[in-house]
Amino acid sequence: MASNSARIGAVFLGALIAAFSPVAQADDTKSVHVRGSTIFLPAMQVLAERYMAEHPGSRIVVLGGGTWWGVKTILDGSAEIGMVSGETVPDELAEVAEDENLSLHRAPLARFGVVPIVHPSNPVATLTVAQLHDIYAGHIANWKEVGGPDKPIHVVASEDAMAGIFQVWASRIMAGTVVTPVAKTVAATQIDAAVAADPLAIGYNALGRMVPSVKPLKVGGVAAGEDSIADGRYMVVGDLALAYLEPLAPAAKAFLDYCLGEAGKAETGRIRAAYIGDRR
Amino acid sequence: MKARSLLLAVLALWLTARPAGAAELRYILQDLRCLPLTRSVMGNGDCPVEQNSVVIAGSTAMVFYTRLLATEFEKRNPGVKVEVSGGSSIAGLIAVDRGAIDLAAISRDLSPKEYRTELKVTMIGRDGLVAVVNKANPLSDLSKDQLRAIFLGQMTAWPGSGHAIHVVSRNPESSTLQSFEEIVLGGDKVAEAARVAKGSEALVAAVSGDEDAIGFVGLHGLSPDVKALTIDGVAVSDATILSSRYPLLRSLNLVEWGGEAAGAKRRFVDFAAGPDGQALIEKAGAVRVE
Repeated sequence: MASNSARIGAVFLGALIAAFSPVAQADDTKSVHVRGSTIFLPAMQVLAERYMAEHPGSRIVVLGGGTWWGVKTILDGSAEIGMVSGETVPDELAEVAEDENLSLHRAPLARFGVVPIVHPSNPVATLTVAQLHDIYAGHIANWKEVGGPDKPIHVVASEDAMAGIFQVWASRIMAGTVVTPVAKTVAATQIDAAVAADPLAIGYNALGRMVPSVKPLKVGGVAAGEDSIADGRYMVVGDLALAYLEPLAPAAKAFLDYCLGEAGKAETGRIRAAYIGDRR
Repeated sequence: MKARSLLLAVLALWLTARPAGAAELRYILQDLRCLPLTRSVMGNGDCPVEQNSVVIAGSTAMVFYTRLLATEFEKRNPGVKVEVSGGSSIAGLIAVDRGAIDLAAISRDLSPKEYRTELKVTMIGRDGLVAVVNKANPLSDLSKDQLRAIFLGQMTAWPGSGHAIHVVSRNPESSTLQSFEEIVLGGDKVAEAARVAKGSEALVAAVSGDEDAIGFVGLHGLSPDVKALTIDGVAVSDATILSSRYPLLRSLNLVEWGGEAAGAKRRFVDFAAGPDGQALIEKAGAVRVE
């Protein structure tokens, strides 16, 4: 019986120590999970591989999934860093953050351009912001009105309101106006395919994802490029940021700093975006 | 009995001695009283009775990994039963959505149409495949589309030499074959003309003995006797698999509805994603993600 009491005492003491020691499980792990914007994905993949090569034993696990998924996974703890494009946090996720008293931090890293695209056979080469607005609002419905053939314009737009290109288009071109209901809406990553397949179509895509099967248009006479985005001449732009919760585990903090520093500066060109990681 | 009153006396003394934090301490004491070890000595008392089973269903390709994890988890948690069954990723997701199972084990990532605020996806590994050819083959890269065409029997001659391609596949029970058909062939079957090797060692032997052969192995089946092809210009490595740049990979995921802080389900997910579960995953041939 005495030995039994001693055993209970030991258990009790051990449990007491465990209960009062600081919880540190989350901080022991060397892995960092990154999720989110597919616009930023190609740069993040290279940053992750470079980091793992320079820091043996570290594991950076990268997955796209889109901005919504990036925000969602850092809120539920399955990722540490979210790649987010655009300014909006969707209501349902903002609610989760509020309920659980989590505050989302963002570190801007790259400014990216969104480019109007048409079929390669389309003679139109440049459109103004006002013309793009009117086309997407449905006020201009014939290519003839903007210097093209006498044919109807087929508007293609993103169906995903959280996609970075949707948000940039909504704020920089539409300025609050609703896109015409006759627009064809497809997944953000499918717009170029839809435009490549239709000589009368107009769509938009991120500069870093431009494909040869579509023709990029200038906006107000300015071609999108890293320089014209960086110096502000090209106006249809949005910011990519790395989102996270405080306190950030040391491994994730180290990788975040790496991305925001020289390495990030070197790799943002890969997605033809302008580096803004030093503008915090 | 004597032990129990002794413990209670100690607790009572401690409570009265520190009245300021009494409410807080009462919670801590209840937690302590209900720790598995304390319970095993003192019985359940009024501790909440924990759910003692975890039901997992989903992709058949995941069964191999979840069974391994389940066996070890049951060993470490006497009285807890983990039920594992296969089927498909989509059936698993629907079942977890409706609360019919605790965890969906899926061998892919969710598509945006499947996103729900309440779904929590825990990645427990990454799995990769490698296309291998004879070391005398001058080719070093194939696109994923070319690889698919070769194994469907649509591309039958090597670019350059024009020699007939000798396709070597795996036995039907092979989980590597299942992975290959899922990742590379999008669910289609390897063309029937393929020669079949039983086990990755036999496959490596077949490919190393035939200059016009091509086959595939899991990460652990890779051997210096054959040449690993890069796919779309990306060489296979832990780094390119973790970064998602290597095209022949898939995520191993556990999906739950809500993320309860306690219970057998939570402990299973934490075990699978923790160092010990990850060591098992790695030993089984996948890349750890913890």
